Amino acid sequence: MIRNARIGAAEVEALAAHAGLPLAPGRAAVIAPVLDAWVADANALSRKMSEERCRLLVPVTVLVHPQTDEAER
Amino acid sequence: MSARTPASPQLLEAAAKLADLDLAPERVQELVPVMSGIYAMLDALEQASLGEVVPAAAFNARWER
Amino acid sequence: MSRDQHELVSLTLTEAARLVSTREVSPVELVEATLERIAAVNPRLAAYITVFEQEAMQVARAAELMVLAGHNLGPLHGVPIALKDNVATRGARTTAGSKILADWVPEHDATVTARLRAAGAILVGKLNLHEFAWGGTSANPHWGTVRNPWNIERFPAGSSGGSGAAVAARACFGAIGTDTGGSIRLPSAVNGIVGLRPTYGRVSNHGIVPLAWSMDTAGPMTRTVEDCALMFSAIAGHDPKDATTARAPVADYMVGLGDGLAGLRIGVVPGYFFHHLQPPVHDAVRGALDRMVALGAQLVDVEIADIHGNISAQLTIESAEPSTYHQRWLRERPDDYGDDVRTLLEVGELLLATHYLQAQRYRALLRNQFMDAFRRVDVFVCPTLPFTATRVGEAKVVIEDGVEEDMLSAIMQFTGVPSLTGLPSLAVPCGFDPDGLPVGMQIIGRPFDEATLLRAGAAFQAATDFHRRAPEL
Repeated sequence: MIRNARIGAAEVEALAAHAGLPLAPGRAAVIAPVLDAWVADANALSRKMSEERCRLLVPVTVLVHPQTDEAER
Repeated sequence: MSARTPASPQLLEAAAKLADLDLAPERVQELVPVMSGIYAMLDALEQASLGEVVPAAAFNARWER
Repeated sequence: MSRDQHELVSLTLTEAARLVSTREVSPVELVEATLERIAAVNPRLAAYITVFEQEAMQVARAAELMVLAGHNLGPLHGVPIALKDNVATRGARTTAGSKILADWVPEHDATVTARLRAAGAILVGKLNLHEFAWGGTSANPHWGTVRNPWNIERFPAGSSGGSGAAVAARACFGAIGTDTGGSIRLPSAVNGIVGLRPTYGRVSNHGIVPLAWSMDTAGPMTRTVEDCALMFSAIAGHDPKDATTARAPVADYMVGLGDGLAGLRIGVVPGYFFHHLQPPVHDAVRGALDRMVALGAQLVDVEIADIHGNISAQLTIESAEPSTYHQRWLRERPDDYGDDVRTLLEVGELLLATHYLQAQRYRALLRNQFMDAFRRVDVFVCPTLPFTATRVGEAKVVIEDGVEEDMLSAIMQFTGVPSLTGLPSLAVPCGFDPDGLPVGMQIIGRPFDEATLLRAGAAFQAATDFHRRAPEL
């Protein structure tokens, strides 16, 4: 596989079909360049976040417990 | 919700491109049945009536180290 | 419009509330003047989707009787306020700027709606927005393209474009907007008004149609910082109906507004805040910083090592979360979306879980770096967006060197930091470009320290007059 391979209409159609997302004719060609650009940046961010210095970082979203009066005291 | 197409080599190759993940052709073939099983489990979530329920993991804006 | 009515709609929210309490102005007069102003400007601006003509007058008459009986409901008694149309109003349609929710009539008020009513505000209508709040132009294919009152050939930004345009045009005394990736701050800057994106968790999102759960906020949009503080005081605070709201104490935001800027440490990130800007934006924000230093503040250069990843993280989260919310409608009614929103929802469906989670980890990284920086500074100041209002309908923008850029990522250049970190950010007008189009700056603070932002913004407004200018409509 070529690193940073381009996302094209064929990939979009395969992914959308698997997501159960019907795409009207021509939609894949509209989506592909946007997804390709965003994914390139997202993968670059993923590589950054995979660096050793970031290894201990947890996501900023945390499980929220239902609030009770006792829990908040 | 429309049914998913089954996992296929084309799907996995597309997903691997998205993930910038180098998968040899033989790895793709091995993963297809594995992914099919996992996706079947995920499909069970669609039976839940989620309505307007928000995700359980929410952003905590407080500064706590 | 009669001169008296022009004077009435030109009052600030704070002035109007005070004059109602002293019985110098009646709520009926305020609502009549506002409704007349709406009728005069809305055909050109498309700022409103629904106007509550009869209901607002009924409430105004009741509010007048209460004042005459010596009773004020609260600090906003008798003041005409409008709500972005993704905020639920009991018994009145709440469309989210969409065709899909065109006929949705909520059975309950959003918490923000209920709190404004409880403070005595009179709701005059629901404001237009970018469809489902997922976009930054407010070009709405279902309810009309919102226009900028400073030049109706220009856009009002978004997604709270109707809120921004209505406040600037004096078609309400204050408005509620929502901000996920910049949707209060961007229209505030481009329409020359004040807008507050609160700390995430400071204001309830209950009853607001979501865009991205982990980044959505609701806040006031007004002509002055003082007005903003007054409206914010009415809506801030914990809500048991929204588990993401905080029990952090709510300050008295009206206290300390006049305390000035002496000793305030203002952080700037020179390698990011002042690169890639249209010259009038650069000059206006630099000029504002010079003015703030002259008022006693001190500038501190700060490095944020990983600030450059913020646009990608913002796009990933801000697309994956709405795509999740819209899954059913996107399959059952794809043609009922505008094409731009449909494309963004489809793209968001196809991002991977790992992309999303890495973005949520990046948020922690960025937040930690800002936490460290806030040991040395009290606030950060930066542009709100790198350009002034573009022409309506443009999907590209030129910032420098004649290079066209995609509007969505360009518009998010400076709004991502508060959205990702949850920090509060106050947009304040700080100048105009050579075409007379407004420029806005952001003042960004510590979590739950909106009081410092409001103090800084009020001090700036006491020394400048950008907020006093009005578009000629």
